[in-house]
Amino acid sequence: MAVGMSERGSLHAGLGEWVIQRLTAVYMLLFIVITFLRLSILPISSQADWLLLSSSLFFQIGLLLFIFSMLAHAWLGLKSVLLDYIHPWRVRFLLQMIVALLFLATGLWAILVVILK
Amino acid sequence: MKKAEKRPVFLNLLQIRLPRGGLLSIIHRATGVLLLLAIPLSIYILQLLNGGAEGYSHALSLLQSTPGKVLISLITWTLIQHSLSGIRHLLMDMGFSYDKNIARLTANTAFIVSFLLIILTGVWIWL
Repeated sequence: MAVGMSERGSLHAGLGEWVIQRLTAVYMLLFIVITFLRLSILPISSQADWLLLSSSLFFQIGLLLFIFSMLAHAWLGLKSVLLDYIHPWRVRFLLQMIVALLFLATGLWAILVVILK
Repeated sequence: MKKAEKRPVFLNLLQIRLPRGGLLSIIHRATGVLLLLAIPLSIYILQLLNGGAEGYSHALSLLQSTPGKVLISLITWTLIQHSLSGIRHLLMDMGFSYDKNIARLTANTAFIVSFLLIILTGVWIWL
C-alpha cells in the first residue's frame, strides 16, 4: 500500500526536488517550442514588433516563469554536481551560498528587466 | 571511512569506456554546467532589447556580429544536446530503458536527433 504524504517524513524530502527538476524541464521545453513557433509564424522585424510582444502580460509572465524555472532547474542540477565533486562539506556549503545569492540576484534582475524595464 | 580509503580508484578519463547511456549522461551534466553561462547573457540581451531604440539596435548588432553568432551557436547547440539527453531521462523516469537494448537505442536516438538539429540550426544561423 502506498504511504500517505503525511507519513513520508524526511525520508522523502528529496522527492520534491526530483519533481521540481522535471516539471521545470517540461515547462522550459514547452516554452521554447511555443516561442519558436510564435516567432516563426510572426517574426520580429522591427522594434515595434518587439514592443508589442514584450509588453503583453501573457508573454511577460510566461518569460518570467521560464527564467525562474531555469534558475530552479540550474540550482538543483548544480547542487548535485557540487555534491558529487566537492567533498569537504564546508567548502560545498560556502559555494552553495554564493550560488544561492547569485541566483537570487539574477531572479530579481530578471523581474526588473522583464516587467519594470 | 577507513575502509573506503583503501578501495581502488580508477579515474583515467582517457581509458574509461562508458556505455552509450553513461556517455550521454555525463554529456548532459557537462552541457548543463555550460548552460549556466547562458542565463546572465540572455537576461543582458533582454535588458538591451527593452532599453529603448538605442538599446534595441545595440542588441541586434551584438546578436548579428560574428562573435555574437559564435556564442549563439554554442549556446543553441549545448541547449539542443542537453534537451535531447534530458528528454531521454524523462523517458527513463517513465519506465523506458529498463531493458539494456532499449536504453542503448534511446541513447543513440538522442545523439542522432541532436546531431541533426545541430546541423539544421547551424545552417539557419550561419547561412
